Amino acid sequence: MSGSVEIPLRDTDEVIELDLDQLPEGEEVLSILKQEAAPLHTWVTLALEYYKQGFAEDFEKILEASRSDANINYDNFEKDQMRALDSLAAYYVQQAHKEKNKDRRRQMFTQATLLYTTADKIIMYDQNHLLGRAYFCLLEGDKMDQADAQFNFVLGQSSNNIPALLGKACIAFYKKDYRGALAYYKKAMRTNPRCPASVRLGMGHCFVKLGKIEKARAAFERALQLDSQCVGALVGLAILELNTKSTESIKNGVQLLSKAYTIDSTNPMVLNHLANHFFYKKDYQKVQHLALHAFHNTENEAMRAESCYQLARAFHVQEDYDQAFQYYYQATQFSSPNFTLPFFGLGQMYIYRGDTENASQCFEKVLKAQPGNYETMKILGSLYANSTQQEKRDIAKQHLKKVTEQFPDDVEAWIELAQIMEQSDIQGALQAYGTATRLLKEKVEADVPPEILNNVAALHFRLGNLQEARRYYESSLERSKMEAQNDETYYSAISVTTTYNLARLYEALHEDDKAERLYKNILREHPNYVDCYLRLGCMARDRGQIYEASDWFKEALQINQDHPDAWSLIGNLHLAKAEWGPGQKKFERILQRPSTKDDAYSMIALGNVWLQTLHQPMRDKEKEKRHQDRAFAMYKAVLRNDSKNIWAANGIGCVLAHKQCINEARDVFAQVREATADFSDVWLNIAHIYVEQKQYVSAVQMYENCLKKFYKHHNTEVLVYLARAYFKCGKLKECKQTLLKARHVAPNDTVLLYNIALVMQKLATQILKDEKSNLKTVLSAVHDLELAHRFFSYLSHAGDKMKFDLAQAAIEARQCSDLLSQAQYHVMRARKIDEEERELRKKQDDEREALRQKQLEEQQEKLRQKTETEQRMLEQRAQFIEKTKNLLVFDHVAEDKPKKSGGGKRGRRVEDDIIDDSESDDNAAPKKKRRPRGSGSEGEGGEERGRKRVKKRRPKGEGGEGRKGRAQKPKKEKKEAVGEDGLTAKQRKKVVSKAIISSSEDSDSDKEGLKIDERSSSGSESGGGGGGKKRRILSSGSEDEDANRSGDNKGSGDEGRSRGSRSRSRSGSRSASRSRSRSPSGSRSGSGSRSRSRSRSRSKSGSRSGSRSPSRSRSRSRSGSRSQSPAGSNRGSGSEKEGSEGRGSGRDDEGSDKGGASDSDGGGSGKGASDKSGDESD
Amino acid sequence: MYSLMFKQENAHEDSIWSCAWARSDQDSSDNIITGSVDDQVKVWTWTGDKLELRHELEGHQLGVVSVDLNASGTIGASSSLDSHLKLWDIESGKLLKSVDAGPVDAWTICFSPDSKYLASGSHTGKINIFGVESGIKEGSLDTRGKFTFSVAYSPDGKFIASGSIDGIVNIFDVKSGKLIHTLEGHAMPIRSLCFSPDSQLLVTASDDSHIKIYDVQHANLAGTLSGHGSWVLNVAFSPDNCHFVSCSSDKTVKVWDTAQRQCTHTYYDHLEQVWCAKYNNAGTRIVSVSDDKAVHVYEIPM
Repeated sequence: MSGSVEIPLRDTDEVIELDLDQLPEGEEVLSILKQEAAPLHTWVTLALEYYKQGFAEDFEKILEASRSDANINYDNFEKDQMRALDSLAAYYVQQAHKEKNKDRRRQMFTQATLLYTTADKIIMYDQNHLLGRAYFCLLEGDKMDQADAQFNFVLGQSSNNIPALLGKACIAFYKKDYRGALAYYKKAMRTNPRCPASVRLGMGHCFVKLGKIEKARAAFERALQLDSQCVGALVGLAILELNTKSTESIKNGVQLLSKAYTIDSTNPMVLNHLANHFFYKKDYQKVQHLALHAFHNTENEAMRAESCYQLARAFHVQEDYDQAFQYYYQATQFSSPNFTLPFFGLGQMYIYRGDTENASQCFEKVLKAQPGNYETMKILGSLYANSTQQEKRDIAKQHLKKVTEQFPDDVEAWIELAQIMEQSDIQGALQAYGTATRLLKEKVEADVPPEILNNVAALHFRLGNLQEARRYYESSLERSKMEAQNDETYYSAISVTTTYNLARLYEALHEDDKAERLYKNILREHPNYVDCYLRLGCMARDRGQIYEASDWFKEALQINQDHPDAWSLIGNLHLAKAEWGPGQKKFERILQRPSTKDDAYSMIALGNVWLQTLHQPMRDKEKEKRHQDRAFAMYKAVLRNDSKNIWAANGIGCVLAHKQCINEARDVFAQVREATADFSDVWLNIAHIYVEQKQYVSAVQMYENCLKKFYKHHNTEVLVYLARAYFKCGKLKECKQTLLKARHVAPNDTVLLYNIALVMQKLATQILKDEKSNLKTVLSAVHDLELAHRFFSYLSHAGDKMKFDLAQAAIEARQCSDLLSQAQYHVMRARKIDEEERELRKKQDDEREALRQKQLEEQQEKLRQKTETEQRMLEQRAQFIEKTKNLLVFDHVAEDKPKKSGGGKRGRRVEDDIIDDSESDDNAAPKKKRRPRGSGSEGEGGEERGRKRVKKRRPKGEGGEGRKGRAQKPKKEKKEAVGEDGLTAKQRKKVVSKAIISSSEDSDSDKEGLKIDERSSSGSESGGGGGGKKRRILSSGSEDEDANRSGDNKGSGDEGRSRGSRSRSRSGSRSASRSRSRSPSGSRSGSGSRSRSRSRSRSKSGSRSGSRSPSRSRSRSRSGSRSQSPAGSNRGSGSEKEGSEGRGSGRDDEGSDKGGASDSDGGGSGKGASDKSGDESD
Repeated sequence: MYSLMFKQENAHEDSIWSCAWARSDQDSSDNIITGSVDDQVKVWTWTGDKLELRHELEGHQLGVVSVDLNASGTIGASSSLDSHLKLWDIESGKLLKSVDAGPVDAWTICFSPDSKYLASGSHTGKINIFGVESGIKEGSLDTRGKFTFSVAYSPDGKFIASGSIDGIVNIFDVKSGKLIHTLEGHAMPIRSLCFSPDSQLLVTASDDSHIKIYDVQHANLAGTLSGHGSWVLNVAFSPDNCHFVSCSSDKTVKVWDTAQRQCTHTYYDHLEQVWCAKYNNAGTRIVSVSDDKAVHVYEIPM
């Protein structure tokens, strides 16, 4: 553009003509202008000329000067004034926009604002002014709406105002209204087809956003034609090229970028994209350089975030994780919530640092921005999988489920999912593993890693598919052996674990010899494998070899002084032998260690010890209460840590029962029972409660179910409980049978013998009392009585003094002999009845015989008649037969009836006879009277005694009861016994002299005896009885602990108890302790969980392997993931793809990180014995 | 073929605790005798494909703990929880003798190989020996241990072995009446033990779920067999000297190979714990009795 400007000279008509092509020095022109006091429009025109020619400083100076020195004494000067102000302001705004220094920038903005405000005062609604202001608002960033309003105003005045249209386009673009933006651009183009390149550029961006790549390309190219220096267009084209992803196009893209770089080496966009490119060229130095450069050349936060991210990524790949962490962090500070890549990277860094909390937060953010992002869900899944909180694990499960749904071919996700499900859904886990193995075989064509085989086996083990489990363990071992060529230490560690599991399986299969061999083999190579010692000890314990067991446990302690499992197992051995003190000490020792101070198992065991002491009848109510409270406190402490601990809950139920809060106890037990069906003690306790509430039928059912469910062999203790329930509801025969079965397995137990004798006595008394009993039953009852007598007299001298009062046996024996002497009468009576009955029967038989004879004769008669007339015969015969039939039936019925009634009468008659007898004999009358009473009292007494006995017995049954308790109880009894004894002795003398026949005195004494019985019984009810009951619960309480941790506790009650259950519970125990270290909630898991815990620790290794081998396959699946990985802004479209790759590489690192973390985890928990041993072998 | 040949359900009214099998020399009948907690002793004849009830022998008062047949299969012996021993004539089903062993002095019984004596364990750990002819206690061997759960004569008549409730096995020399070996392999009750037909081996069954094999001459432990999942309730040797049968509270009956020390077959047919299992004379069949009230006869390959 050529031309000239005329500066009118002051006071003349002359002008100085300045050729625009050869503008003089700015200073010179300025001085001329000042001298001549040129009109303002000249100033402005000149300034603009300077600006157009690139002399911005001159422009600024002239305009600055014009404000004070220009001549404004002409018409319409305001317009020129506006121009001057607006131009200057716009210049400042522009400068400010370019300025990186914040202070100076603000300064310029202020200047601009000042100028605009000044201008506002002159002409408010000048179009150019408004446009300038609007752009100013746009640049300031946060005044979008204001700008929009101003543009609207301008457009209102002139609808084709190009700057306003462009501004509107900008705003629309910013607001993601790409279509709208495009429309504005197009309008601007139509208005002025020769508009600058930037309009095309804007259109290009709009097309990109709208997905019209070809049009975008055209727009960019057109922009470049218009302005070959247009960096934006270059970059846009470059990105388009890069996104086509062919080698050729990438090369083109890079060329374009370098061109842009040569044009503007400070453009952060270009720098970032170049950095991105060099990242894939693995030229990390350049990446750092470029990104840093970009970072320093922009104030734009999104740009800075991008730069930081590029930097971080470079450091990440170079394994400089500290730096990477810093830059990722910075990037996250700058970035918009949609730019998720840095969060992803930061998350990985957190994982590396072991800070899973923050890591999961980062990934949560990513997931929030990109819901359903598969990589993120997977990572979050595995992060949460190791969480201690159930909710987190549930989230993990959800994530992984989604991942597997979206990508059913992702082996890694399947494995992770399986691992999570192991805890809650065994079947599901197995299926997931199944899918994973299938995928591994089919898609990856890799062999199934031994860890997975091992885990699958462990799951089968838990499901009880023992043979299946064995197959998997064995193939796992085989695989480990093969893999051992590659990584010996790792795979030998795995094979050790698997061997251990296999040994556990052999135990479950009862092939103890094989199990033992395997354990010992492991110990030969890894003498520090504590679990093997413990298992060997447990096996010895289950064989009843307590000392050997103790030796093994101590061996374990040699390895690890504070091993809580070993200590508790030893403690349990003590408790099994009723050595409360030493047992208690062991558990207290565990709780003293800081690392195990919250050990739920030990606390419950201690609670049980206190509970146990309650079984011993205590005089001291205070003390009893104290012990109750202590037990209660222990259980409560456990529940505080783990509100779902069923053993603690059961213990609390027991304490409640002791406090006679039967209903509350029942509720507690019911809840525990609901939580698990695999806990025998709670069944027993519920049954005890039923007994207490006199619901004997339910109690019997409960006991029987318990026996069936939990014990393969006859468990004497439960059998005795059952017998007691039968006894209480009066089913004496069943009671006797039950006791016989108990005696069959424990013939050495004199208490059982006592009970049998007692039941026999009671049963016999009942039969004798029943006057309708026939001879046979009476005789056998007498027989039973004799036997009972024999047993009692035997027991009175040979019984176990520790378990019951021998004197009581003697008393019972005398009772029996009394009864026996009376029995003669019953026998006589029964015999009489029998004889009479027999006579009657004979008579009846005779009659019947006669009748039959008669009938026969009649028939013969008829036959004869038949022969007489053949024709009639047929008719007659039919008639006769009918008749005779009827007759026969009738006859029989008739006979039967009288027989019965006759029998009844006869019975009555007999009674009458007896009464008659008694009437005739004065002595006999009291006798008769007395007898019922006596027998009644006997019955009652017997019952009472029985109850007492049975109760007492129970504690005895436990065997382990403290000596003290026993010493106390007998004392009490002795007192009673003495009273009774005295009486009966007196009585006996009399009785002997009077040959049983009673006197009033006797009956009195009998009454007294009865009273005493009652008293004693009531005493035993309230005190001993309750005690007995409690004791029972107690014992079960003690059992409960074992179930909880190791079966050995089970032994605590009684040695003879629970072999089978022991082993079971032991495994449970293991799990409890294990899970303890891991997650308290795990303790709930119950039996068989040993394997689980094992599998869990293993599963860690599994995850390791998982992340390893599939990482191979990952590269493949990656391609899929690419498309959906988080996208950045428009320029991000290119970076997206590469970003995801970068992530991929990062992920690999992360995978190995995870492995490392889990290692340390395993070691930390003290459970990963395999890990440990592996380390050692290292 | 290992198979269940015949099943006699509800053979008794309640759990069956004991059984024995022998061919009678008198009438060549193949007889099985069973004893139950229902106080009955029953004699069955095995006809080759089924059992026929031959006698119901009544007289015991509390459950029948143990039954045995003498070598010639003519006399049956039974003992019950009331400590009575009874001898029965198998052919007629008549009671030959009833022995009252005192309140608690009889438990499991076994005939001596010459059928002249009947040995039984007792409460005090003594082994009481009763004369079959005389029907009285003719001697006793003192283990000085605890309750003697099980007794066995060696087929050559030289030894008596006893297993006690605390897991100790004692072996006596019959002639001198001296205790010659004490074996402490088990720590839990030994409910059954038996000698091999050649009297060289002694097999013990214990509540610890294990079976141990001892060399009688040197009192060496020759092997420990595991496989049962609960108490091992009974063991009996096969006449072939190579196998023996065991039964357990885990409801199984197992056949073992003595030389291999391995289980060759397991029968899972019973519904409840199996208290006793015995071979027939030929070693071709096994009879077992259980809490499920059934008597099973199994075929075993030779």
